[in-house]
Amino acid sequence: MSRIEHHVILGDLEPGTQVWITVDGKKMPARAGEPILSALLANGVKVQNISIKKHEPRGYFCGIGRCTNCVMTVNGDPNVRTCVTPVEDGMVIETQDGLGKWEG
Amino acid sequence: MLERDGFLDIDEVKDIPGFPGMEVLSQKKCVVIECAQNIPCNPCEALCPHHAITVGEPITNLPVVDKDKCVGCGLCVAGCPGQAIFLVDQTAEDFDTVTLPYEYYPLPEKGQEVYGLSRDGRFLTKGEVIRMVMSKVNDRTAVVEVKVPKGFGMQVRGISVDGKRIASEEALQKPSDAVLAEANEDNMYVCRCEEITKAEVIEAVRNGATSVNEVKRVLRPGMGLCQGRNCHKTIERIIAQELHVPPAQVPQATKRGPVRPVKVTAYTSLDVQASEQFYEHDW
Repeated sequence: MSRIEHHVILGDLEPGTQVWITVDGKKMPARAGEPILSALLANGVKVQNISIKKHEPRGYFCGIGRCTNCVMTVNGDPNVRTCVTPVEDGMVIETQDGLGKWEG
Repeated sequence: MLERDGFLDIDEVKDIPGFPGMEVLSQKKCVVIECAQNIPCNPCEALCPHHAITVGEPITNLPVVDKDKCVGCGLCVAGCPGQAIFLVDQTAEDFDTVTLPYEYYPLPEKGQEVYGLSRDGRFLTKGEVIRMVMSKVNDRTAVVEVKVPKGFGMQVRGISVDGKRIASEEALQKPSDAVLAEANEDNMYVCRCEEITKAEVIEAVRNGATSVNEVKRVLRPGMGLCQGRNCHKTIERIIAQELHVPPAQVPQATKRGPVRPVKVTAYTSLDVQASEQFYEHDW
C-alpha cells in the first residue's frame, strides 16, 4: 500500500519530516506526527494483532480510536491504539498476541 | 435494482421525485436527482439559488425537483455529497448532454474525448467534454459537461478520462454461493473484541436474555478492550428484532466512566493530559 500523493479533494501531500520506527524488528520510515497506523499501512503492514479467542489475524476497523481492533505493543506497552497514537522517532512496535504482556 | 445490484436501473430513476420527467428533458436542460435512499442530507436544497429543490422536514425526505424553477446552473451537481445530481439536456436533435461531478486525476479538458460510463461503471459510448468548471464555489469538485450521442442522456452517469476505472464484466460478476454462504450475517461478529457472532447473541436472547446487560452476563460483549462502544447498540437492535419490540424499549447497557481509555498510571500519578483532538468519538 502506498500513500496518496496527489488527490483532487485532499490536495497534494505536504513535505514532512521523516522518522524511523521499528516494527517487529524491521526498520520502517514514517512521517513525524502521523498516527502509527498510517505509517504501518503506508509500509504495507495490515495485521496489527492476533485475536484473543480464535487466534486470527486482525487489522484496523474504525480508524478513529473507538474499536480497539488496531491495538499493538508500543515501546513495551500493550494495547496501544495505533490509529490515534502519533508516531515518534525510534518507536518500537510489535504485533500483539491476544491481550499482550507487560515487559520487565 | 439498487438493493440487489448497488445501483439504480432506469425504471427506478423514473419513479424518484428528483426526476423531472422525460418530456421536460426534451424541452430544457434540467436537473436529475438520482437520490433514492432516505438519508438525512439536504445541501442540494440550500445550494439552489432558485429554490428548485425541496427536501423540507424531516430531513430524510427525498429531494423534489420543481422543473419550472430549475435553470440548469449546476451548483447542486458539485454540492451533492453522494454525487447523485446530474444535469441532462436532450433538447438538441443529434446529441444529448450530461453534466456530472468528477473527482479524479487527471481532470478532463474542454474538447477532450472521454469514455462515457453507465450507472454500473461499464463503458457505454465515447463523449466530448464541452464544459469543465473548477471554481472555488465547487470546492474542488469538477463539474464536467459531456456531449454524448442522442439517447445516452439518461444512461451516461460517469466518465473516465484515461480509460482507467472502468468496470469489466469480470468485476461485475456476482460472488459464488460458497462465498455468500460464508458471508452469512449470522456468522458476522457483533462484538469484535470478544469475538461474539450474531448467531450467539440470538441464541442468548432465545434462552431468555432480554437486555444488553443480560446478554453481557451470558456472552461477555462489552467486557473486551473497547468496553462496548461498538456492540451495545447492535445488540440492542438484535434483541429488539428477536423480541419484536422497538429498540428504545430494550434496556440499555450500563455506562460507566472512564468513557475513554486511560492508563492506570493516570490514576496513580494524577498526571492526566487531555488530548481532545483524537478522542471525540467515545460513546
